[in-house]
Amino acid sequence: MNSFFRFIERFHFVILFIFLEIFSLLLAINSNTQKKALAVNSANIISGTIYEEISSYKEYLGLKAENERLLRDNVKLKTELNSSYKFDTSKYNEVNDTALIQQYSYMSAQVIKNSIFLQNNYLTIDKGKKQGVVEDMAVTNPDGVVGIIIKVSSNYSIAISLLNTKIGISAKIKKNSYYGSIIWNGTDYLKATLKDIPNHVEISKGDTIVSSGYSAIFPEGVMIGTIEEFYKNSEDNFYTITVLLSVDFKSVTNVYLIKNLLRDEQLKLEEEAELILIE
Amino acid sequence: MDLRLVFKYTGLLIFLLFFQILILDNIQVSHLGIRPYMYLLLILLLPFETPKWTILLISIGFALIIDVFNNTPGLHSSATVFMGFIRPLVLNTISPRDGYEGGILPRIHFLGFNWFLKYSFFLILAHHIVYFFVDEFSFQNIHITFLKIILSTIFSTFFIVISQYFIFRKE
Repeated sequence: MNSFFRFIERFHFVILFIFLEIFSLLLAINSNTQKKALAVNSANIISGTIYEEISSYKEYLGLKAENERLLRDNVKLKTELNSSYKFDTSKYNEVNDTALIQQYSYMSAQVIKNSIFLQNNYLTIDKGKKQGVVEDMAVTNPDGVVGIIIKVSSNYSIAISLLNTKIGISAKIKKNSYYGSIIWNGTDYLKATLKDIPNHVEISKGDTIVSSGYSAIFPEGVMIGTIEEFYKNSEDNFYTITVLLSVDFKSVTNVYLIKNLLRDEQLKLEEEAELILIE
Repeated sequence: MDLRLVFKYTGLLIFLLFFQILILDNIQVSHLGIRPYMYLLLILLLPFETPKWTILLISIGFALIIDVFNNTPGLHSSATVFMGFIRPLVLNTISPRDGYEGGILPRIHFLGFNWFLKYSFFLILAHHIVYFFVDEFSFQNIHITFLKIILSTIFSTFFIVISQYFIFRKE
């Protein structure tokens, strides 16, 4: 026993080092391998408040670009309004349409902390449980797909960014609806890779990539980017497509949080269908 | 234990924390995201007499706070703990012929530009090697990882050496 204590005394520095290093490496590995594990995060009252304070100053610097973005979005929405269409009253009677069910509800929020240079980037958002944010809500801005909510505290939430090597987002080519998944390779915040598009599909530079809506998180047709370049793989029969992202992740500030009200129903149904197949 | 010194280092800690997360973390020099990590100055400047285990505890405590702000569990802390671990080794390797005199601190003011440059360069390099490999978490883009390590080390060292001419100049 005595020699044990002498051993501890002699090597306490190395032992403490090994202990602390393993502890922090485990934290890092845990967050690197599991999508939703983020043991240490900024959705707490102290860092949340500080970042909120900073972003309220930083906002002024990006006001011009942000205004333009919102104007563009407004123009788009206004053209979709009923008042932009002329009704042919001789043919239609307006009825209360029970065939319409609301599927998505929108909420506006602000990004108060964002990173783009790590392998696994996250966004901290200024709304939380109290404001009705839940996990698996989609995060978009007028330019397109930004990320997915993965952690919610009472007044803040954390979204996994599209710029994160841990996630893939289901996407499709707008003109022919072939779908694959968008994956970020961790080097360039302007570009991502679209995988799983078969070789025989005709594509060209500049084609639009949008969300597919299959994952029950993003609505169908949210902009992701445009094809910058592509080549055929010789080993498998799929393309490797480089996509120029439409969102400027460097300046993401105002975002929409989108909740799919029918998500649970869809997931439950898909689960049941899978069970039937197994039997 | 000199209480005045404790207060001074606590002040330095708070200053470096806010300087890092409010200003330096927003610097974007290139596509690679090279930015200076000046918060390491705290570990560099701890007095020679600080017990080695205390350095480890200060390293992990401070770096965990930085991790909380950056949504990067374990990333800054694993790198900073490693840096705290090899600090005594580096100090021994580059010590002057007669060892370090009593009552001085590891700063340019006492030991000169060359000594401080060597000292901070090696420790920052050690920190950045761990930092970027834990971040990358693979050896796939190893040339980019090395590029990031080298450029960031130069950048951080530059900032840290320059800072010596601006804070704590007196005494």
